[in-house]
Amino acid sequence: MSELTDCIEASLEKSADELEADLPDLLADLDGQTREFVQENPGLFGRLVGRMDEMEVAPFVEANPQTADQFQNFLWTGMEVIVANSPEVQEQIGQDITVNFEATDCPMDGHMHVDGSEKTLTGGAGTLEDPTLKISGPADNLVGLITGAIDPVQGFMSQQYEMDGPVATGTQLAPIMGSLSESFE
Amino acid sequence: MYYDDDGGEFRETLRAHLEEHIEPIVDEADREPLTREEFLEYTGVLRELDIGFEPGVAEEYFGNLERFTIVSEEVSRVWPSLNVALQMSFPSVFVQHAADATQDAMLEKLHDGECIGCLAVTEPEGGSDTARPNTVAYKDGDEYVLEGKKQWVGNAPIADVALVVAHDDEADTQDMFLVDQANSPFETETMDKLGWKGVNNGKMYFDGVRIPEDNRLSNIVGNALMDGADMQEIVPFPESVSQLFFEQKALNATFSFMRTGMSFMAVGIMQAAFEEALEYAEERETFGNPIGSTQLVQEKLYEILRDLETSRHLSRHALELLERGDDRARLISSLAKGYTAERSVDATYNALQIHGGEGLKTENRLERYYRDASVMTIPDGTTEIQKLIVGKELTGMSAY
Repeated sequence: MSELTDCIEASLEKSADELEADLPDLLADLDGQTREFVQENPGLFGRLVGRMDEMEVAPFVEANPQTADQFQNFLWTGMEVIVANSPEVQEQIGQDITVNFEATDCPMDGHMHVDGSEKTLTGGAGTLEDPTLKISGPADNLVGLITGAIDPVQGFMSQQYEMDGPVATGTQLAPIMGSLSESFE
Repeated sequence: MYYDDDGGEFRETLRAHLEEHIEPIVDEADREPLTREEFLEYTGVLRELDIGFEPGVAEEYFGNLERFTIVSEEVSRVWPSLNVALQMSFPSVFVQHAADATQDAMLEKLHDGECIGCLAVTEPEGGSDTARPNTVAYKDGDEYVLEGKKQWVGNAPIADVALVVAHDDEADTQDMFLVDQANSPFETETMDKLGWKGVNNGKMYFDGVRIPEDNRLSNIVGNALMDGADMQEIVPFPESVSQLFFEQKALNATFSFMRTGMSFMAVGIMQAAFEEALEYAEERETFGNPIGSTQLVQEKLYEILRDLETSRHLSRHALELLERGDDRARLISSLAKGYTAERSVDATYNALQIHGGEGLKTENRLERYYRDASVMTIPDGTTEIQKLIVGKELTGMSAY
């Protein structure tokens, strides 16, 4: 793990293009170890996610289709660990919510499951059947929404993404996403 | 049918209240833009029937579509300017969830029904192009700095708080910013105009006006949600309208709501003109007979009633769709606003013609009805813009 951590540290020192070129290998190496990595290096995870905001996600996914699922699994596993360690985020979780994320500019689908009783958040690649909410938009904006680069309320009001489903549930999601991004800033 | 489902009891109570308190003073009161004291006095009359924006009342007024449209119609039947001045004050509701400094300065006023609000959208260079504001909010530390100009803002010169549409420079998107006069003073200038004389429309100048970051509307909503508020507690629209926020752009859903109110406003003006025209046609005699016995005057009464009733039914249809949160709410509310505004000009013109020279006297209400109706075709989107919205909704292609 320390070797992998060193590699990530080194890639983070590089330019955006160089980091993007490194990312498929880094994600492949992290596959199956993300939980342990985030537990041990929450700050590094935050920095890496922050640098991902510089990327253009759709071209990256188009160029690296085999990496798209790893990319999402990395993000969601990291978020899951953060929520497990963050009472502030758990405090915002009040009800079960399932969400599908669908990129409109590249083949990238994901999902999220908020468990109201367990106070957990899980997610990953692929969609769920019959989710409570559907969120769609350009891949950059969806990733920005997850990483906190896009404010959930402002992003919605300015149509950076669209949401289908009951308004009452949608408004429950905003504070969860908001506190999630604050917790690794 | 949802409309008047209490058997008309609220409408009758409101109408009697307006006849007692507003009708006797309207002719004099509408000659000049309302001062702050006058605004509070006349909206205070409406607050007696739970029509206003203080907490606990806003939900009854804006949160109940049938009630909202009945208010719009009945108040406009007596005094359109009062209806506009009241409605345009709605941004004051955001004080409850605004930055601490704004709450400290304004919350007590809001609870007392004395916090006057305004919505600043239109710009001198922008006109109908509200999607790309030139007013910019720059982030500086934990504040935003507003730079820009607005005009035609109802209540601006007497407002305590303004909700200002601006480009958020940092996020590179459009947002709204709540500015309170106590902490972030802004300059205003009253504008004179053809009708709606009682509405104090003004220009606004934001020259480096600093506001707390928590007064950005996205933050107001986000912070309130974080504090556990639900959407209806933040924006007192009915759930069906809040749902439209999800399915359409938030500003578009707000306009669907406002335009439906405007349609009923046009109906109220036409109703007043029709009642006066019919009464005059029965009383006024020329050539030894009531003018109502002539074919041409009867034709004009037919036309006024036709315009009134078709407008009423189209407005009710828009209300029904809004009640359901129907996808077509934007289409039909624009159709209704455009149609009823134009019909109100025709109907008040015909009513004025029936009155002949009497209709031209400034002490006579007919000329006010005609002037007020003529304003209806411009704000909340001109008739021409309504046509383009309908066109876009029908074809999916924007012509503007």
